[in-house]
Amino acid sequence: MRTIETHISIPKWIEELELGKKWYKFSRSPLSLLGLVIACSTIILALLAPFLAPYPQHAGFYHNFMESCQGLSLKHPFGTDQFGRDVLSRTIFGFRYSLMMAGVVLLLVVPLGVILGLIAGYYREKIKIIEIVIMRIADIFIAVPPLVLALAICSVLTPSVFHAMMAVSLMWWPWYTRLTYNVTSSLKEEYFVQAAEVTGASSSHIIFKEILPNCLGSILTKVTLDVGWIILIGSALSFVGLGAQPPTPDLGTMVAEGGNFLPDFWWISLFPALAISYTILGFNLLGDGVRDTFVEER
Amino acid sequence: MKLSTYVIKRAGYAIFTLIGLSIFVFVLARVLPGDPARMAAGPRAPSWVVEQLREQLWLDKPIYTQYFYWLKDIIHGDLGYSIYTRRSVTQDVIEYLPASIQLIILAGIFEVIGALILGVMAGRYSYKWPDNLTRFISYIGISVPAFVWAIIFQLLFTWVMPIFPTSGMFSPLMIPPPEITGMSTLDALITGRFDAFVDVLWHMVLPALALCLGGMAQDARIIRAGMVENQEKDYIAMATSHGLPERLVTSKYLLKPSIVPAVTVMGMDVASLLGNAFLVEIVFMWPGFSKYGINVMLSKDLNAIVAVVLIMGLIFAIANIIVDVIVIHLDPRIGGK
Amino acid sequence: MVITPLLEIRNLHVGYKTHMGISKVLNGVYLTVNEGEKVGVIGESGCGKTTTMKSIHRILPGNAIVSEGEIIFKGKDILKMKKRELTEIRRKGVTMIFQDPTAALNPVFKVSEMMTDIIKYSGIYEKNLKKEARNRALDLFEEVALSDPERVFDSYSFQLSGGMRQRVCIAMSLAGVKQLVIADEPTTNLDVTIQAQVLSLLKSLVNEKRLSLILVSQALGAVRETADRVYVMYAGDIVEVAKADVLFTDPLHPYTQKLLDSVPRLTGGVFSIGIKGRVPNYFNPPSGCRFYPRCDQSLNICKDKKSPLVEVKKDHCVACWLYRGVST
Ligand SMILES: Nc1ncnc2c1ncn2[C@@H]1O[C@H](COP(=O)(O)OP(=O)(O)O)[C@@H](O)[C@H]1O
Ligand code: SF4
Ligand SMILES: [Mg+2]
Repeated sequence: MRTIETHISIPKWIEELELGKKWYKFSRSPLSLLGLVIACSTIILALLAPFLAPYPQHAGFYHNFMESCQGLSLKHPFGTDQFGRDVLSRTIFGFRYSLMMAGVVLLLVVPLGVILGLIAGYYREKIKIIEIVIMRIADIFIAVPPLVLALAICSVLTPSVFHAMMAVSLMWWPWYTRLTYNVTSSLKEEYFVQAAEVTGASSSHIIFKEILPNCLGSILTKVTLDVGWIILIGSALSFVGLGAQPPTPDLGTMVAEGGNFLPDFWWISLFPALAISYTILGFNLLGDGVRDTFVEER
Repeated sequence: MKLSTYVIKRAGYAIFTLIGLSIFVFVLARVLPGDPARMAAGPRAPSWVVEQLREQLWLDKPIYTQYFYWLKDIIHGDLGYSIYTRRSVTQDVIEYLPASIQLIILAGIFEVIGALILGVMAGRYSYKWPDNLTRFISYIGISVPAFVWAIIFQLLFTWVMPIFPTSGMFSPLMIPPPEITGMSTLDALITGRFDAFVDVLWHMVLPALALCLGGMAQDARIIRAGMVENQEKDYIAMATSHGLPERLVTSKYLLKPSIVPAVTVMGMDVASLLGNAFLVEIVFMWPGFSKYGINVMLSKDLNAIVAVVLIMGLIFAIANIIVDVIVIHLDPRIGGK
Repeated sequence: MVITPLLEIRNLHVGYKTHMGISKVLNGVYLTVNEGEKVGVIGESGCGKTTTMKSIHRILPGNAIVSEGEIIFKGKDILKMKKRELTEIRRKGVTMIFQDPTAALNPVFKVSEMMTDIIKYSGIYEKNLKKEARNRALDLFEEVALSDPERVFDSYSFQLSGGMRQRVCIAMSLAGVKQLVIADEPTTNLDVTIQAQVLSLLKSLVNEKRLSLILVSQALGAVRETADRVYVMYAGDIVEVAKADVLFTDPLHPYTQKLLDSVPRLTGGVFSIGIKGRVPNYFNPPSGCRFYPRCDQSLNICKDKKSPLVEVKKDHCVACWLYRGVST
């Protein structure tokens, strides 16, 4: 029997990313670090919501009208809503829905969009029809402001978190297709890709080993920045009642519901609104940092 | 390439894309669960009415036939019947669209002016306090969604300092000007009703601000980055070395190339204005097309939903062509490509 | 009679602030231009020629730091001047032609815009009429031998060829009455075929208008033909100065010798390899002679101490310990 090789070799392209150096560059910017801290804190809050929220049972159907609309207190640092639910607990759970939205959408959209973009870019000259079909379909979904089409799709389906995710995904993949398409078609002209072609490397080798690693910086940047945008769109959908439905503790829904109780019970919508901004801010700062680190200047 | 040729080419391309879009929304509206005829007739209508409607709407025909009939109607300006307003969608569009367009135009004006002021200040005094201030404002602008602005403004201007009205288009006692174009500002001007004009503008300030702050923040940062980068260019050194006044160098030779990148992304700004209008119009009870859009969506009014999407696509396409023309005008190199 | 020089740079130190620290580029530059004189400056790229020239106009990049030195123009230190005086110098005293005309012309303005503004502020016209500026511009374009001046005037720079762009830049420089022309590698970025044309144009204009000239160039042949005196620059130091014919026939500094050797000779027919090694990094430059790491005649002292620039023969200065009687 042969011994199993224990030596795990790091793929060449991972080594070429020079992660240590990149981290050094990233960590030199205080704003990027702040973004990283904020982003991580939202993720931790989302993951550990049942343990961190003081009243986890308040996340769903729950009412205690004796305590409704109470102001800020030690017991309820963010006050309570019209059903007497703890706003802090619901806000902590709210991170779950926002981040889940972003996570699921990106998980669906990035692989799909990137692969389509790679194919369209790679076969730009060879098989023109592939490029035309992919890019024209992508154009259709870019032809309407994303929020408008997402709203329309959600309204035609029954409004729910799941449908909101599907609708946003449908709007989002073309941006990744365009991004990778652009990078791929410019890389095709570069020597190393041409060299690989001349030496008879297979298409899949060229696409995934030569071209894809060079798109990673831009893709990573876009992914980080998009977390904020998707959360924004998701909360906007819920805000108008076409996304998550009550009593889901979605931040957008909470802002909309609390809006009915302004100005007297301002805390019901203010804290979820702050939570949305906090998350978007974090991922924006992080995204800027990632761009400065990974995307070469000039 | 000549500009007119370019515009025609772009327009043709936009029409092509819009047709693709119309197929998508049409199919989406028809293949989904639920009976469109029943939905159009209302839940309590007797079944023979539903069947009649089904024939009227060609719902008994195959879907591609339906589509072509529908497209034919649209080309003739007939967008179908709205079950929400119980009249033709075309009429609804004529009534509500102008109010949204004037709001979006004002928001666009605010956005451009604000972005220019902030961006130029930050670029001119980069790494000094105006730059830091702009950066701070930008991050707030980017991370606070439009509907949150809308709510904050409601709170602030209803209860803390009621200097701007927070809902509707006219003050309660104001008699609206007669409708000519449908845009109340224009109508007021045409009929010489300056009181009404000022009143409408006054009502538009807050919704327009809520709409534009996000895009303004982004554009300011792009302009700032352009100025900082171009400050080091040889052409600026050369303009200075010929003894041109510093003010002229900054406001002319540095500014123009620096705003081009911001203008190129303005198509996206239009998208965010159009999208945000859906939220902001509701909060401010602005009687516009986006508010109408949300209402028809909430009542599953398919004809109207399809119309809303297509009209938004059309506006977006026109806005993008205008943006492109401006870009080519600012930077003729881009037109050469 | 003592000739007062038109321009005199003394002990100029310029560095650049970067995220890796301060890059100390100019290390005490001396340069003199007399009235009506044509001076050449040669040296590898990256040795600080452009930095020196931009210092004269105070148009260095924002991260540059001028830490020491004087730039005296007609008796006054440019580095200490107020904005107004400086602007006067830029308009009426010194003019500069940039290395890369493509980068030097604003991409989003027509030639006419820039030309009109430059003429307007050149101080010739009391009140500027647009038409007058246009006529003046067209005259200038004819002076720099641009065919079809009207078309050039109404073009964007991207619509012109490289040679035309540089002619436009020269025309802009000659818009006002000037005394000194600084030409920073005016032909390096042009096609080989038009390099000679542009250079001879520049030379004849300078002669005609009796201007002084600083010609920075890598084209040693051109410098030899044009310049009265030549400065050799290495890594932010002036290492040798001499009359042009002397310098090219009898170079003293080891760097100059290598530099001249590295030029492919027409007669020899053999391509030389260039100088081995490269310009040192400026963050941590050699503490003594900056050429020390590449010099094959170096002495012990060279490592720690920099030789001053001294006159070793008549009108021939060198900054090298070999000529100071130091023994190994
Ligand atoms: N803005 C800048 N920031 C940092 N370093 C610079 C800057 N401009 C020039 N340098 C560096 O200064 C050195 C001299 O450059 P330069 O004066 O352009 O040389 P030359 O004109 O002789 O080629 C080079 O090493 C260059 O990298
Ligand atoms: S001073 Fe020394 S190291 Fe420098 S050039 Fe002369 S001999 Fe070489
Ligand atoms: Mg240079």
